Amino acid sequence: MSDLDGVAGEPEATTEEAPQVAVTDSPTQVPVPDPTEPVVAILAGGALVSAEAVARAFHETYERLAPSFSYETRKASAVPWEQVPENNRALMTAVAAEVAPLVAAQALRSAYWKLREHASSYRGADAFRRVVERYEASDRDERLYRGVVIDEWYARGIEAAARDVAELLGIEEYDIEGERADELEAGRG
Amino acid sequence: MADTEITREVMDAAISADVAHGLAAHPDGRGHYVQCCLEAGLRAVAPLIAAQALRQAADEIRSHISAPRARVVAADVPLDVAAGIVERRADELERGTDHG
Repeated sequence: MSDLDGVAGEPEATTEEAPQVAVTDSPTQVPVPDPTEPVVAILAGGALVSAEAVARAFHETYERLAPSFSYETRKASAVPWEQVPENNRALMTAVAAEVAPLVAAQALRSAYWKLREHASSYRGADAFRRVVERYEASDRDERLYRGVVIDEWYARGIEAAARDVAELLGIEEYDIEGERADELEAGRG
Repeated sequence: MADTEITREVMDAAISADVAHGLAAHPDGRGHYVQCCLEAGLRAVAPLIAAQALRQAADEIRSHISAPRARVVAADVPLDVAAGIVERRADELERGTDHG
């Protein structure tokens, strides 16, 4: 999608006299990635998403979708990814490197909460509660104790996995909890 | 919020990255991408990005499993289940069967 025509807002037909590769007007030197190394978007916890792969997917998607928005992309850029001018590819890769971590972070937050909810619902399940109640009512029945431990072990294992996801986000667990609390507070407000 | 929603933050990041990298910013401060196409493009690639991140998360969870996958021991069961939950979501996103 090396669609560098200086237009934002309503789609409109591309004019023939528009410069083919506006990137040459750039006041900024766009860094060209080293093709021998994968370009990755970094979250605080580690390398997550190949920015170059995202840029390529975005380019192909943009070119495919543009006609349905009554928009004609530039001839110079309406080509396979490998043939897109190098500076344009570098620009799109740089944009993807900034955007991809935001999208990835949303997915990881969602996965974190899915795991936490799984653990909570397991603890809240009738079968789990009954085992705990029977153990508490018994005289330290060893067999029942094992059942409680195994169930609790399971829930804690799921919570440990949620913490792994939080680590990938590079965010402390209590900060994620805080975000949810803030969202709920804002929802009430 | 759905995990692949294109939020205002994502849109702003894409537009500002475009502008920040030069290329003769539009006089009204916006970049070169045509905004509605940009949003549609982001919406299309977001599930791929999300799925990639989730697969890495599943790998991270599985890295704590002590036994080889074929011989998962009891202590590893919750980690195996958790990784499976995360992987299933990645599968849904990749297959386009996104149920939010």
